[in-house]
Amino acid sequence: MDKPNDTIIEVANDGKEESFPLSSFFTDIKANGFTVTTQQVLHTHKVLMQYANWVKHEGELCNYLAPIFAGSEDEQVLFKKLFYKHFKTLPNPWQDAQKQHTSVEDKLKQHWKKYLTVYAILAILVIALIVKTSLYTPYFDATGIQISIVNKNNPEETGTEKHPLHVKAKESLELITVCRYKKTRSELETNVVFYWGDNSTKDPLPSHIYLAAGRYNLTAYVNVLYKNKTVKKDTLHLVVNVCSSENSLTINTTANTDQILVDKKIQFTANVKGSTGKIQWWLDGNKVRENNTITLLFKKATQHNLVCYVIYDSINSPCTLEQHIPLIIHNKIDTTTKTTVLQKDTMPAEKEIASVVTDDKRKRFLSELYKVLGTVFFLLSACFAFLYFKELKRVHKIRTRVLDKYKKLTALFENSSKPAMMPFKNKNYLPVEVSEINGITKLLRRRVKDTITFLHIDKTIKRAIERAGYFEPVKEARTRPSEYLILIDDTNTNDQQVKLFEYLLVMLKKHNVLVEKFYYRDNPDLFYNVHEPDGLSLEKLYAKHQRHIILILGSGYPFINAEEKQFDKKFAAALDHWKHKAIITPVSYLDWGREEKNILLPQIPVVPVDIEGLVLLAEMLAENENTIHLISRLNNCKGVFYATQNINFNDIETLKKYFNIPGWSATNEDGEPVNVLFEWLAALTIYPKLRWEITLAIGNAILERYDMHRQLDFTILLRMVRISWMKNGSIPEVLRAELLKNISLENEKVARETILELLKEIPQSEIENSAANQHEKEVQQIINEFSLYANDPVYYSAYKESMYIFKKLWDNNKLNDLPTTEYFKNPDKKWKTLINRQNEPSKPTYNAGANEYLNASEQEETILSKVYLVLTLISIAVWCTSLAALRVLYIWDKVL
Amino acid sequence: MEIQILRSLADVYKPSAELLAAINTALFLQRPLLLSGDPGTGKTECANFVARQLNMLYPYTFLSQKALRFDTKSGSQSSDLFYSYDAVSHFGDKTNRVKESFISFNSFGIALLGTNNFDARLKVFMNYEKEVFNKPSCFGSVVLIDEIDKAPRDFPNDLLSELERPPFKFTIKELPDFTVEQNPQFPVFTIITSNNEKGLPDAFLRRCVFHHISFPGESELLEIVKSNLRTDNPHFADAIEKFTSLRNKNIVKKPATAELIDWIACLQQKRLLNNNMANWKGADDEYKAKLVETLGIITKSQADFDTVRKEICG
Repeated sequence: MDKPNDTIIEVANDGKEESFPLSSFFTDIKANGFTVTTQQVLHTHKVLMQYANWVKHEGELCNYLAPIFAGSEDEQVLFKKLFYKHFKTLPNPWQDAQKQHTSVEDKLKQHWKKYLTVYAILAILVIALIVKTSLYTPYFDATGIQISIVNKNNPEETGTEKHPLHVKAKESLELITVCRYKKTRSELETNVVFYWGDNSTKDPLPSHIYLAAGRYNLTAYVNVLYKNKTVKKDTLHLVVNVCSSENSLTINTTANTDQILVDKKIQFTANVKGSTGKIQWWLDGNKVRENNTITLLFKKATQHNLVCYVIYDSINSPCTLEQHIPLIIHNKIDTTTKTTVLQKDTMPAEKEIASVVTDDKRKRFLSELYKVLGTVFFLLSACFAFLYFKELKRVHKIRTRVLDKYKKLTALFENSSKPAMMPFKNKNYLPVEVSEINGITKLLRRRVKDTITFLHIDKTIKRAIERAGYFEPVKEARTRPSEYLILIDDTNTNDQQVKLFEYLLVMLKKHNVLVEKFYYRDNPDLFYNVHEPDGLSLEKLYAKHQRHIILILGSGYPFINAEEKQFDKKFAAALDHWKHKAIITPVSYLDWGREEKNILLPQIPVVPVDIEGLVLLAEMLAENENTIHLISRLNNCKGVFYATQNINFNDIETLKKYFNIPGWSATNEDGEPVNVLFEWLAALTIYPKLRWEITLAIGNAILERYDMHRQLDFTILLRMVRISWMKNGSIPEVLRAELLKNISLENEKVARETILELLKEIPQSEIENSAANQHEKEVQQIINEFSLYANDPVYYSAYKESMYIFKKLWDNNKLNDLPTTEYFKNPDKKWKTLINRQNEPSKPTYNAGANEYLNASEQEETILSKVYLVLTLISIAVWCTSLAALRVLYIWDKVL
Repeated sequence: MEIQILRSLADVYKPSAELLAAINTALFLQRPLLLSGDPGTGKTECANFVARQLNMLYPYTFLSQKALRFDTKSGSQSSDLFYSYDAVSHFGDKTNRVKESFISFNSFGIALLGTNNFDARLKVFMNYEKEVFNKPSCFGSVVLIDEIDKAPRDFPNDLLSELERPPFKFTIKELPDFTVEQNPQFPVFTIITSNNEKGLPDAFLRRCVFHHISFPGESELLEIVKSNLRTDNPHFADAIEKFTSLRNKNIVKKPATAELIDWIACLQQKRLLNNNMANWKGADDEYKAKLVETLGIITKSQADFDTVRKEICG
């Protein structure tokens, strides 16, 4: 977007550079035909100072300034247009919002590969971090480490303060430190120092001999090690009961225990040495006696087990003495002697040691980290999922809308009965008035004497006073302005020369020349206008407009009798009624042939429509010159006329030569020679139909680009409409295709923007009755918006939807415009079009055919949703990993 | 004295933001406001609107709620804006009255006299007592020069000097020593209307502040209709939509706002503003016939009438 040339209120008192406020804007409007006087400038400043702080935004100031400079409706419209064009930074919320909205998405679309790769790498790194911390770095809960000390000689005996260990005095007590971490099974080392509680020194050895019986407090200082690193320190307090080692039990029997006979008594006597305890006899697990001796008698031959206990504190105490005596009962004496074997339990196998490392801080940290990562990636996945569904919805919505619009368009096309004229807004205010028009209209406006007289009261009174009261009325002839009856040759439909004539009449009317216009078609028998739709003959016209000067705007050929090769007598007689008459022909003076010189001129004055011709006509009418004089004067200024008769207007090079007007039409753009007029003509082919409003608007826009808009005047428009196909009202298809390929891209952009502006100016209410018009408007809008979007999707982001509809029309061959279709197809990229493609953001754009562009853009359209989906999945993966790690941390507690 | 209408107070006339800005620019610059636009777009009523607003905002300066109107005729001269001299009556007078008694002040003359203190000697003029002397105090005025394009080309050119800058003044050429000059404390605001039938001289245009009143949009029309008819009806919007649609048909004399207000008032009076208005093609023949009876208000030629009737009756 161009920068504005100045701001609305410039403070010039900065002491550096004093610029006149709004000076560039004044220059701008001056260049567009406005008069800017000192007084108007002063008024502007006064109004600005008065209302600048009052208005809601600077754009509103236009309403206050336009009344100072505008003098007509057209000027009011033009002023506002120039104002907003000049001060482009004025608020345009819609456009800004639109641009902002699309730029983020477009950026993501352009760099999706980069963004996705970065995000994927980030996610992988996070997952790796989680896995590494949870799987390869052990972590422990200090409270989970259980340490116990067991008696090696009695592995089931675990020492605590309440459950003492038992050992005999002078016998070695050997201890094993068992370290378990919950369910884990890895080995952990321990380093234990024992304080045995019998006044001996601390000892790292796990065995000790108590010399005297008694109860001792044992303290064990335990260091739990993992990889030579202390992970837990603990102090265990145990109690050790030491039994006397001198107590012993011997059993005496009266018979051999393995040769006991049925029905024969046998006696057992227990002899206890040392301190005496309570003696109990147990047979086959049942207590049978509490005494020193027991006598047994067996009735059957069988085996029994007799146990004698000497109990000091409890039967389970290791201090308890016991003797097992197996008894084998025989019916007769068995000679075989079996020795009594006192069974002793073997030591239990050394239990496996679980080793555990704990690190509470680390665990807390990891726990928090996983929670944070989990939350962040959960939110991200939710966010991406939301964007994904939103994008899906958006794409669906666009597709539905596009489909609806497409259906509507096709329905309009099917319903459009006959092509109608698009009601473009009048643009006749755009051309700059030629300076000669003031002189011409002044002559044309001249007052002529009327036949009607009136009583001049002032003069009558004066005369009556002069004549001493004698009343003598003074009558004076009225004067009236000259009035013109214009007959326009409208034989060719959409004849652009007719449009030029109408523009000429607008100019004349603007200068207060009284004109009444009628049209004739093919045969000038009847003349029509809006008031006389049924037409009037020349005779009736004469009856209504006797005092008018009749001017025929056209070649005048319809007034020639083709067979007799002379002016049709019927028309000649009718035209003879008017005293003043003339033909203003669009045929260039140098192209005048037999028709003009030999047939028309003898009957009626003929002048070319060039400004020089109009000057001659005005002078002729003012001075009542004759036609002979006219010819000689035309010959005098022969040099200003140009021939068009033998020019092949279907040839590009010839057209370039035709518009090569020395002095201004040829210029340079980016070092390349450019013919501005040819560019203008080529740009007209963008719209499939020739339209006067488009010709003016595009001409104005393109000439303005080269700062030549002052050249857009009647003379140059006449040169334009003298092209044969301009007169015919349509551009030959082949030529149109060629011209489309020849227009420069910048001018094409300007032309397409201008066409869009023209189309948007048409109120919907004016075309809603014509399906053909609606169809034409919609399709042209879509084509032009698509072209601009394809050229610069960021600047023209608002036109994105048109690209989809264009694609639909393109795919279904519904454009119905062969030259445009061929131009856009650009199969071998032989010519430049506005359609640009860019494979990678960093790579330069290149010209592409419509097929290539549209196929790529369809893929691009869904890329965003795909990207969001992938991002969602990646985020979910990270989130799940975080959850899993948390679960491992808290529930599984990491199996090593 | 600086006068302006920054916000339109409650009024039946609803000016657009552009028109209000133009009015303020003209008031601020003390320049005549030239309004153009199709007939019926509210140019004349705009002058009365300005008068009403100024009367409400500055009641001690602007005494009247109506603009002093000068209807331009094809034979108008610049002096007609200030006074008229009835030379024929003077000529036929047998009572030997003084010349002043045959002179009556016109709108601009009254406006300028109104800015000055009362002068009993001026009571001899035909309408001085009625138009100026009977007013409670000096007053400023809004002067409307209506349809200036009807006047001969010389008329605007002659006005150039008269409307150049305040204080305005005028002389009566029939009374050599008579000059009236405006008291600048009491502003005289001139509004000139044109139907664009004829172009105005550039020099004249440069002295004026110009605004073209475009035909309003449907929402603005609804507001205008509501405030003019001082009532609301849910079918006003339907009628306006139909009116706009008909206006865009191929009819030569396009009806304007004034015709719309009259037409809707007529529709209301004939009880035609009902559900049929939204879809009159589906209405019964009686409704259509009644509707056709009202078309004379919005069509000005037989051809236009036939076009619209065809649209309604199919």
